[in-house]
Amino acid sequence: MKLFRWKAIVPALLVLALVVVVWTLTVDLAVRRAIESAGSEVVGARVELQGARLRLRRADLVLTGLQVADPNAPMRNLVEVPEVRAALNGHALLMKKIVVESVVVRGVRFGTPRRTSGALTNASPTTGLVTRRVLGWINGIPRPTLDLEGLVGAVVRVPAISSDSLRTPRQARLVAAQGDSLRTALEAELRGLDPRPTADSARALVDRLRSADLRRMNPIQLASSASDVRGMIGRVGGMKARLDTAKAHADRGLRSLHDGVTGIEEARRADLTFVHGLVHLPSFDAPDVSMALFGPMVTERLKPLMYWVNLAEEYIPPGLDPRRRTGPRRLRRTGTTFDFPLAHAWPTFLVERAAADLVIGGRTAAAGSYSARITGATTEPAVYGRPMVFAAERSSTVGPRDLKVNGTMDRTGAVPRDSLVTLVPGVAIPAFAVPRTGASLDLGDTSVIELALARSGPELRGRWRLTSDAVHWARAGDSATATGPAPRIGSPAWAEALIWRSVAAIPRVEIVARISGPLASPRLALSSNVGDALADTIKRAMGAELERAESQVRARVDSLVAGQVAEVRGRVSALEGQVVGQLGAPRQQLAQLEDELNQLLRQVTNVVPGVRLPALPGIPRPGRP
Amino acid sequence: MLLLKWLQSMVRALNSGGTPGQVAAGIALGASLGLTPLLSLHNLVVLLMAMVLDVSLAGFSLGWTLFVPVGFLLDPLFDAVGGKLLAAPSLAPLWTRLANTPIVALSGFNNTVVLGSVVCWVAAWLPLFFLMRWLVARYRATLYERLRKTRVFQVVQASSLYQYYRYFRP
Repeated sequence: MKLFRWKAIVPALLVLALVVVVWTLTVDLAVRRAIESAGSEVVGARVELQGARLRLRRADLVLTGLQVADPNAPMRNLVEVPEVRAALNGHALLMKKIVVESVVVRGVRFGTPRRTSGALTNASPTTGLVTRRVLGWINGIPRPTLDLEGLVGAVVRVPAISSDSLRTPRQARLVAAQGDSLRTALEAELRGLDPRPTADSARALVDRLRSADLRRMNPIQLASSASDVRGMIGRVGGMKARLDTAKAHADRGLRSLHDGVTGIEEARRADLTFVHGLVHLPSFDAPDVSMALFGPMVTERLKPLMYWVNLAEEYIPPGLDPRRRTGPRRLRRTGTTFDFPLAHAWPTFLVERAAADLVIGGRTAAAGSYSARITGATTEPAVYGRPMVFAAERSSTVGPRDLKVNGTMDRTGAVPRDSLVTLVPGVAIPAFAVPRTGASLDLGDTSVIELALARSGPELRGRWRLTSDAVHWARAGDSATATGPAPRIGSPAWAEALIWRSVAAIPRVEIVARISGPLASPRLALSSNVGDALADTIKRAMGAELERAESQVRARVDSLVAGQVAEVRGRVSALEGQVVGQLGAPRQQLAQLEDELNQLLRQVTNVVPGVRLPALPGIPRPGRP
Repeated sequence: MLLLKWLQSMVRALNSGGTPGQVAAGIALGASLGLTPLLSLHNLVVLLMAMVLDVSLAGFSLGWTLFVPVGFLLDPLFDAVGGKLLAAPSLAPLWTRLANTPIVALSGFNNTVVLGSVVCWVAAWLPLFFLMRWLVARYRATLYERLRKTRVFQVVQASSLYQYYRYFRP
């Protein structure tokens, strides 16, 4: 039997050639589809390419007409790039790795309109995960309101608040139930742990031996007595240990109860905040006022920043551990694809050098051409071994020259360390309505935005600062010129007028946002000179009303929860007393008996019948510790 | 029409002039295309092997056809087997080296279903070969004589495709 079918060599070669031809004809389409699919998955909106051309012989890739739709505004592009030229490393392609030696991006434009919607029709559950995460973070930021109506007169309807809607009673009930469980468990443990028989026996033995004359006992009686005492010491010690164990259990339970009582205090504070919200009693602390005034505007501007931070977190992990991702889509099960990074090898995706020309259109001071450079952008920084560095600067001759964007992303070690410093002058921010004030604020087109962001491990710290020296306040409608009777105190018109008087004369605005905390959900705190001034004005104008409303709310919350809180505290104290009474006192009694028994044991073991041995200096007697 | 072609393929495979061993080897090779994800690099190699080695091509296509539904059914098993192998710490150095080897990296071995199905197919190749060889031999000794007198068989033998098939017949 022959092994090879030599006449099939030519057809086999033809099959191979056919495979090569089909691959050559379809690779551009495959690259286009892959970029569109992966991009849409990451962004959460359509990523479209007009064309893609991969030339293997020259190892270069040209992408044309790249449009990335804005997931929040499907009829607008986040970014549009007419042409991207990338020089690839051909050897790395054979290892299924995309190593871009250099890439040139020309004519990048932001916020361009789209002809068709960029919304995805069949989004997978993981599509736009990062966008959703950022939106979730923004929606979770507490936004105080600046509602002054609730401060005046009968609007503060505190009696309508039900105790069912408060957290404190629930927390109190929980602690009470915990206390009941602890008491039941303690009583069950004590039932099997009655120390009285042991204590009584020990007392009887002590009394018997104390009444006996040890010197008259013969050696057998002395040995028997010593044995009795030792046995009793063992029993007492065992009982004491069991009582100690029960006490430790009880103490642990009591600590948990005390934590619960602390939780009641926290719940009470939360209830106060909750009731403030219910009766429209806003906080007039300066940070809260700043958040109420500028929260939406600032979060809107921080959204892209947090998007990129989260995107980097999702797709640029530190370390060299094998990574898993969902396998390619096919008729068969997709499975899981493992990546096995190898230090000092090529990463799966690497852009060694990239240069981009960016154009910001319009007539604002920020309009013009910019150039950006990125080196070492990779999905596996630990494999690449060098941090990613990026910078941008203005390249056109007009406009301010002091724009600065510098950043590094160092994930070569186990702890990621990223930093970003940005100074953007001449930013045009559209006029926006300031919530609850009936006024709008135009920051002009000369605002300066500074940003400093640092990330070390899971912690993110950042400072975003906007300053504008020539702001213009405007009142909505014709209320600025309205004449007529003075508005009723507490009415919306009165509140608006009060706010207007305090902000209208502020010519310069400075807003500072501080980001701190875990990367997944950092805290955002705002401060502003406008917020400070307004908080001061409101407190001065409405100090008495504020105090009255505050005290009403506090009194109402206290009246709803005080009884239950006091009862819980009483029950916890009673339980503490029970623990001391049922465990502490018997243990003390047993400890005393143990001492007496040890003393007796020493006496019994020190006696030689009829002879009292003298104590030798420096030599302890037998039985003495 | 497709069903007829499939029947043609099956009848030819079982009744061809190739030995039961050649048909069984073809079926066992063709099982790769059915059991493992089709558009994989290893299947191109298997296809070329089927063409160059002196195995029954009809058996190869029969094996492919027969094992496609089996592949779909066994996907959870392949996924689990591949997952275990890829997650095994002792094998991590091997996978890392393979993942950084030119061409091999393109095979998609680092996917649980691909690796699991290839490993299962390789493991099952010899048992499958011997089982199929026995089955084909038994078939030819018992059923073939009765089948060749049927009209369907005669239609198949007379078709033009059969003449083309004869070119590659072992």
